[in-house]
Amino acid sequence: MRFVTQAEIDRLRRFVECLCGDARGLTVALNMLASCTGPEPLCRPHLLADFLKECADNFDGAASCIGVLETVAAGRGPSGRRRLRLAACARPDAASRERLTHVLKCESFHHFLLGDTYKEDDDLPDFLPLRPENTESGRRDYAQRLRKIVDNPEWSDPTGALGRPLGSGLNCWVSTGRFGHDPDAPRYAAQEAGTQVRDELGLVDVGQDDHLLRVSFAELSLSEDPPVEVARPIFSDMGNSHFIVDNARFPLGRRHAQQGWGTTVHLGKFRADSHGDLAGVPERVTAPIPVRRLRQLEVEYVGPVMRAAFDDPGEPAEEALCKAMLVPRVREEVAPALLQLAVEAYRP
Amino acid sequence: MTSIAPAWSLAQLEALDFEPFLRQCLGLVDADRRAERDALCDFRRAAIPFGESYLDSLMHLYKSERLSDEARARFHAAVVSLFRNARPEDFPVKGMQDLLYLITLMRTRAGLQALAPVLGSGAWGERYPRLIYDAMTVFKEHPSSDDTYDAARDLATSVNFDDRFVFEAYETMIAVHPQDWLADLEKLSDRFERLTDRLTRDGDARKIERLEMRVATLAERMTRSITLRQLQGGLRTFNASRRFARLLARSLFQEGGPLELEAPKDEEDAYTLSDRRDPARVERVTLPVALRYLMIKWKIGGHRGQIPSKDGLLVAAQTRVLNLSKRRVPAHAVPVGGT
Repeated sequence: MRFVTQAEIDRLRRFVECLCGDARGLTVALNMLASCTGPEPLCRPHLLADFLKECADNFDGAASCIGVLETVAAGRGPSGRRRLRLAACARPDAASRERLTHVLKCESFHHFLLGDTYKEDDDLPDFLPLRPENTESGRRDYAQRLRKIVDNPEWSDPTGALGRPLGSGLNCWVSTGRFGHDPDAPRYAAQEAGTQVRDELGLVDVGQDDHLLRVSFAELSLSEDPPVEVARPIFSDMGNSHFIVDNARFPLGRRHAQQGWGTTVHLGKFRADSHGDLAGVPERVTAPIPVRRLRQLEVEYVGPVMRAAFDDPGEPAEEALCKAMLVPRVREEVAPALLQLAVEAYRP
Repeated sequence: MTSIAPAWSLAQLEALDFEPFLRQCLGLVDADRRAERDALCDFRRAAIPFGESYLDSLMHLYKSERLSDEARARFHAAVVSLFRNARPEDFPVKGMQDLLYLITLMRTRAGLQALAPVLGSGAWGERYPRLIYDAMTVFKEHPSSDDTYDAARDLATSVNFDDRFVFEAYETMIAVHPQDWLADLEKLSDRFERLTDRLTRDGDARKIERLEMRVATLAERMTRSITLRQLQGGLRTFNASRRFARLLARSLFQEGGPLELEAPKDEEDAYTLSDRRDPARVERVTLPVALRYLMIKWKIGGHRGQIPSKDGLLVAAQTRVLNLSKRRVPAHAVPVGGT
């Protein structure tokens, strides 16, 4: 696939300019550039060009750019090819003793992962609220109920899978504790565990009073047949538009990158200093992972999120975050650079 | 292209007829249509986040300040209306579970009021008892209010209600109206009794243990919701003739239970009732004969020695009342059992 005619190039320009028209789209565009450029590109430019062409050909000007990107990335475009490019693929180590983690909201866990069979227990079903009552005793009660439920090996929905969007699943973002404590991260009180996790993972859509759960499992469960590929995320790994492909520009991100991990944006660091180091926790992306294949599975209630993602909610904060992620690029140069990269991708 | 996002603008969302929209998207439950459902529920072009799922996205829409109050009210009304009007013949049960999810998180009176007619006496609850389980989550999310109480009572006393959920329903009811704990216990006593029979009839130790543990949890939760004074008021007429009531009484007062009962001394007729977590809280309570008999039998409250017959205890109690009124104590009036 290549851009041959001027009409194709015009369609591409229209799509790219629209994509760069808002904060989230601009971040994705930036990650497209970062995925294909730099000293160690994660993806070959012609793959980006293919991707963009498919998006541009199916963008009618009224659709959401992010929606189009996700559709194409998921392989629901006309080519039918799954565009989830696990560029820095690495087969999980079968001998690994590490644990991977995935975080989600309590109500999502309840609705999408908890099986109906346990609700239909013939005797006396254990009952889990959709989310905890936001009092100390309510949270303690929820954590106890949750522990009891997941002690039963049959707790999960047989079709349940970790990944986003829940219920259909394009991909799954996982993290690890292997890099240890980040001394540069803001400090959080013990009761702010939910806020801390939200901030570290850069989950901008998780707001105040949401309650988070952490699912953790042995990495080796991904190596069982058929193995699940894991990779450092690139631009087409949708589901998290607030991560920085170019993580090597931060000292902590460099450590992550050296071992094949991406890096999230730390919202706590961003709030403290929007011009400073934004590196959050390491993240990799995989295909959606069926819960039933996970070994040494643990589900733990983390806690409530006690403050909004941004001090000043709304678009200005999103814009500011985007600006912080753009550094050292200038906003105006992203669209032309992306266009040029795509058009020239097939030149010898 | 199978499902490019429709890209709702804010103006389109404002004008949207939400009920047919919800019927369409929540009806897309087959594996090959779920992506279409996600796309339909994607409002990011209107700067409304998608979140973790299409349901998260719908909740973001409902809570969004970008949408007018009028549109949000219409969205809410559409959720409740679809929940009330959908029929099992032409709407999937997964779609009903989705609606219950939305009703739970929207926390509205209209949502609560729809539960009993749709699930308690309607076709949905009859065909899909697991929806009743999901309905119980609605109560947990709602603040304590008369509406919550009414909805829990109406559902718990409805024809489709499953006895297995009676603990949850009762806990919801006493959290709102703790003063009515005994009346509500009696309202649900047939359900408690049937469940007790069901779990104990085949002598399966695992089931019996689960029941005992659940009753212990109920006892503990009761003492969090109900004041000692309110408990004392109910205990005076507590009917311990049925198995569940006896199980509950034992869980409340046994060693390790939440309440402590101290047997009456000498000529007094009243037990001393206290909260083990806060022993300074004390009430005096006169127990009915049957319950008093059980306390002696179970050696609760400092009772020691021989277990009296119920008749003997009744005679002793009646005689004591008689003697107290005469201000003298005949030898035969001392109850057997070592008070």
